[in-house]
Amino acid sequence: MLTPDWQKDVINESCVLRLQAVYQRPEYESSLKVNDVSFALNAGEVLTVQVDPSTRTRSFASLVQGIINPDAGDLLFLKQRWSGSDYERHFFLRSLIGRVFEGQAWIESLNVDENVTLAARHHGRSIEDIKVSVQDWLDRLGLERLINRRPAFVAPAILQVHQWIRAFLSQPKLVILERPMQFLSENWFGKLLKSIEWIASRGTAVLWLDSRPNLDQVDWRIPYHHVVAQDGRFEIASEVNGGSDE
Amino acid sequence: MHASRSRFYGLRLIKRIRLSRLPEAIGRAIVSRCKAVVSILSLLWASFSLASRPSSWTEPVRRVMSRQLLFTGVDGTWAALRFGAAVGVLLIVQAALWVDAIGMTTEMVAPMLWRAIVRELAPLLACLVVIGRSGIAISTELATMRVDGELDVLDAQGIDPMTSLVMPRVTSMVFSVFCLALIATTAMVITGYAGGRAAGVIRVSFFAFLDQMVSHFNTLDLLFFLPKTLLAGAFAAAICCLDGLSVKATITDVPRVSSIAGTRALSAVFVISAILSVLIYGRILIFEVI
Repeated sequence: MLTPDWQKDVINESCVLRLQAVYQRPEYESSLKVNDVSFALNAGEVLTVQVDPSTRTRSFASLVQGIINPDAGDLLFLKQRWSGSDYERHFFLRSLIGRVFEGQAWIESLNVDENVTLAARHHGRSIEDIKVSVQDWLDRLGLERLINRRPAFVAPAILQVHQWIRAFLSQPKLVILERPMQFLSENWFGKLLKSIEWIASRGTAVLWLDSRPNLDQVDWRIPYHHVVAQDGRFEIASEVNGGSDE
Repeated sequence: MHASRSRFYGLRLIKRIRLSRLPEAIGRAIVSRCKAVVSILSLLWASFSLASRPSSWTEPVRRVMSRQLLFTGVDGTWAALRFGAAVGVLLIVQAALWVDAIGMTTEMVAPMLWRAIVRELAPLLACLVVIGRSGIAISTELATMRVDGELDVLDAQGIDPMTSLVMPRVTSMVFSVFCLALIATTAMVITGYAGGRAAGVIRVSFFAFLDQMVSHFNTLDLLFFLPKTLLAGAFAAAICCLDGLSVKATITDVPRVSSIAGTRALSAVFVISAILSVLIYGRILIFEVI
């Protein structure tokens, strides 16, 4: 089967995510407001978005993934719009995005290990290749093996770390992290930062939505932007384009 | 006096409004039924076109399909056998009554049994087993997944819920209805013979009885059996999936939606069965229609 031109184009696209004057009516009262938001996120960059502790980030993350359409403005992922009814293209593009969800994140009828590898298996990666990648991440995060029980019987903290593995597993073009430290002790923060720097150094763009107070004080060694979400607008608080070492 | 007159005019007004709205209500009902049929046909078209693509059958989809086949088809075998056996006995009791009343012979009982089983009862029974055991479970599962946001989780990972959830469930339900109808047919024939032998209605050996039945097998039997199992199974599956996915975002809607899905699927099976009988026989009761 021939690869469509758009599929070839997205592989080498450096601008991963671009929002232009995006407006989205909030799904719930507590949803993150999006009013005239514009930003661009390139490969290998991190964008941290400081949100209010009472704000839910799920609908904004779904907006970025094209699951919800914006009411106004333009949203491009790897120069591709989410509009249209060519769902195969949409699903292919979404397969290039890893995500740590806030709230429900699991298919309850599958074990956690099946959940973690589900997308990779569905998108045609070989079982051996997946096993190698999983072992890499287990080693990096200091875990022994993936849990093979239903998510309902696993502690939230353990599930959260498994969400990281799932999000990072297939070396995605974009990772969306919604409160990735939820349920976890501070001991894990260093491992999370190292993981993010590792995948970003390999060309993954990272969009991190969180209400942690010290998010702007992270000493990144990669290009990063920090914005504060206020009344639907994203105000730039700090940014380093060449990494803090330079 | 004044009050009674105004009440009289009020009632007349209400009646007039109700009458004037009657065509509108009928129109709405017809449009909504047509929309429902179109939705069912669209879902079936999407499911079967996805099923015909080899790229849809990824390892997780094959796993969902095999689990669903195990639950719907294999686990439903005992139910189909039980129900089939019971209906086989009921049929032979009726046949015994006719034997006593008008002196029928085995040669006359066998084709009657065969036609009743293959053309009407076995497909209907298989659909009842599948809807009761799996159809309602599928609509409950999909509704719960939707309410919990699990469909979004799939969608966000680039996994099409239509390919990974709906298509394997629809295809496995259709396949299961067909297989369970065959099993129910076998059970009915065996218990029909055993019951008939015990009641003295059938006096020939099992193989002779089977031979008499099979000798009456013709293409019209296939014409009944295949569409009644495949079409009715497909409609039942599509209705259960559609109703499950149509739930609004509250968990309290799930039981209501599941029971509605079960009722609608059963209604569809009976309606399809009746329509196919009319189309194939070309008559309703004694009246020629085609």
